[in-house]
Amino acid sequence: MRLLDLFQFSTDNLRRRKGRTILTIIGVVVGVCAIVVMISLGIAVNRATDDMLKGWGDLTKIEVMRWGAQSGTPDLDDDMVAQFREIPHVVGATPMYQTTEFYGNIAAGSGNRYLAEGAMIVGVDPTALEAMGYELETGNFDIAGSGMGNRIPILIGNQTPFSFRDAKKSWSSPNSMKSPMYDENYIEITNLPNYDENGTLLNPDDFFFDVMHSKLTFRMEVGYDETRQEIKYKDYELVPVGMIKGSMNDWMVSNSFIMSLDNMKKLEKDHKRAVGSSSGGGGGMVSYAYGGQEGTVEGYDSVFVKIDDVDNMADAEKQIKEIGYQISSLSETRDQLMGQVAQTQLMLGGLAAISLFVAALNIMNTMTMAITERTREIGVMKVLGCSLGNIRGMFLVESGAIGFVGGIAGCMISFLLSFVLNHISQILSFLQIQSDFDIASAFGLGGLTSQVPDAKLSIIPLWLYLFSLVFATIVGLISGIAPANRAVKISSLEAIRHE
Amino acid sequence: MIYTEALRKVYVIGKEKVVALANINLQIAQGEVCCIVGQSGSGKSTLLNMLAGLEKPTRGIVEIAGENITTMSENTLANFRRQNLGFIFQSYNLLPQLTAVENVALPLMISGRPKRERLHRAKKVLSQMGVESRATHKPSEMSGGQQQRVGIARAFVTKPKVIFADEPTGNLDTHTTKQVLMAMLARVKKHGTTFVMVTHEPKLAACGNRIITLLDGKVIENKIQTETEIEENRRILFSETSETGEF
Ligand SMILES: Nc1ncnc2c1ncn2[C@@H]1O[C@H](COP(=O)(O)OP(=O)(O)O)[C@@H](O)[C@H]1O
Ligand SMILES: [Mg+2]
Repeated sequence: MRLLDLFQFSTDNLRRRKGRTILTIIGVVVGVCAIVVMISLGIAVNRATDDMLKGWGDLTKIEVMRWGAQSGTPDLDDDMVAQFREIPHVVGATPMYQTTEFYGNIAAGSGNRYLAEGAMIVGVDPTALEAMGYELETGNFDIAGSGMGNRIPILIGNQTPFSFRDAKKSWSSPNSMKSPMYDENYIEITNLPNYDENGTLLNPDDFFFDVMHSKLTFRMEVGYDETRQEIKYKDYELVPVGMIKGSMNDWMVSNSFIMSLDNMKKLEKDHKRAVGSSSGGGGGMVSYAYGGQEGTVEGYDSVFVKIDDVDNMADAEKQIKEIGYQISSLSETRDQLMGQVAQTQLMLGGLAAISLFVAALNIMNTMTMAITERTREIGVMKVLGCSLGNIRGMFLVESGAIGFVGGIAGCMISFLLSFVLNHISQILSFLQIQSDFDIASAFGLGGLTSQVPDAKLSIIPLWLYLFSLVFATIVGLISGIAPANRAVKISSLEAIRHE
Repeated sequence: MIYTEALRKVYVIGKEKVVALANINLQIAQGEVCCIVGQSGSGKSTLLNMLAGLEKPTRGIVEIAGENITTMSENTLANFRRQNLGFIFQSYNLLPQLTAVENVALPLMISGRPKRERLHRAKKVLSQMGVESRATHKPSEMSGGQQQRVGIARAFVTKPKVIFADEPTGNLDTHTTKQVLMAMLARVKKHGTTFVMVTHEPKLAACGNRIITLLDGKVIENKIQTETEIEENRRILFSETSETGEF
């Protein structure tokens, strides 16, 4: 039998029993709508959660930590950072290295009037920052050079200027600091440094001085002068080449003085030499090695790895974990959140699955009835030499067609339902129905809508339509298998019986 | 053309055994019109079903055109039936949703012939059976005689080697019976088809080359008639008036 004839023959048979066919299809429509709408709610929650998390920070950044690594894991050192870069989808990797070797203040202004005490100095791979997705407020990323003599190029965060204190004023004086000012929601700082294209600071009054265009001196503490009863300093000039647009979520970069790892290590060496020589000469010197691991840093406490896309996070995270490290990332947090969402989903999905299951039973019942009614007809077809495959095919096409048509109608109705859900408040107000009922929270979305105000309640991507169409057809086909097998077993003698 | 050897069929109903056929040995030549007669319950239908491969014998062999159909798988048998056999039913068994021409074309559809070809062939056979005017009618819109003519057309449309018919005129009145029988015999003769027909009416059976009489599942007579005998019997049958409804 030709496929086209098979299709036509079967669909003609469906059309012959219109009423029953339509009822069965309605069952499928309900099941498909339930599943599509449930999944669309889930997609919407996930999308809203994603939007919310995007506000929290970079979803594609992984922090690899030395602490808690499995024993036998190689050191988290430069070689390992290089190894991370080789992992597929990794676009950048760098430690954010804060040394425990030395300590110092950063001074500016005449007579070193402005001081950033215990300044946060961070060493990074100079090529990595741009790859990590950082953007500049002004200047460039070029901190790779070693500088001339004691001049060291640095990047500063856009909140770093707030770390200076006016040393001429007492700690308690309200004017001793220029403080960040926040918006009413505490989401943004309103007085961040603002530079124009020419590098001119547009809001100079918010700061003591323009950090980008001032002479900064890093005063590294290199010991204690017993005779003069004061700390000894070794001075370096820091040259800001750019200011990074940090964010509330990236406190470290937003508030640091950032230099290349090479320069950082050079400073460590300088410090060791200076302390070593002075302690050798002066005697009784206290060594300033923080963290009790003087001079022997076998790698970094943590390394940041940037991935090209959120979708590849799980892969990359898995590979890093396989090396033996613990990691932390927003996407991991996200996965935990999504996990909770998924549980709600599973429940809703279960309900939807039940309705589709009922639809499947319905199809089975309809097909069984059809076959019982057409026993004689099937017998005749067999006497005429119809192959078992064709008989099975005829009934599978019928049940598959019920699923397919139900799928199409279900998709169309789901589209409408989704539209209604997404415009529920407009629709209610259009109908002049006063309602305090927050349908979003009924679906567990209540908390989200306050953080993501324009979040949709239901999102149906194209793949979901296609998926449900294919799925409904498959459900139809599967429901048809048992009845079709029954039809195949019908004896050709049925054509002759009851004569 | 058809050959059976030690054909036996036993039905088991509960603990009881019914021997429907006991040791049937037959040989039917190509182009023969073979009529099977006997009382009700004598095993005529059982024998015909067995010959047509609709039912497996308990024991014995059925060969058609040199092929042993008793050992064929169901699909092979369906294939064989589609290519070599035709079947005419007592209750016509036309599919109610199809028109006459579609019903006739059905075996060709099953064989995978293209639509144009099969409708063309179906129409031709319908007009040979004298019911071309009913081509687009559904079975419910036709008389019994017309339906059976359509049923006969359906059996002939594939040009089978053998056609089986189980009481093909059983549901028809005397007048229609004669017309339908005449039409069938004419087709059979024209195509040289081997024709096996079950009837409980000896006068109808008398139109065949061979008359096999069954009783309690056994062949009690296997009579071959000469052409002149057949001519005579047919002449008597068709000249008789049928006002009484009896032959
Ligand atoms: N499917 C069956 N199950 C049990 N017994 C059957 C079956 N078919 C036929 N028989 C029995 O076999 C015998 C022959 O039946 P059948 O061939 O139909 O006779 P006929 O066609 O000559 O009237 C009868 O006794 C009948 O009861
Ligand atoms: Mg019978």
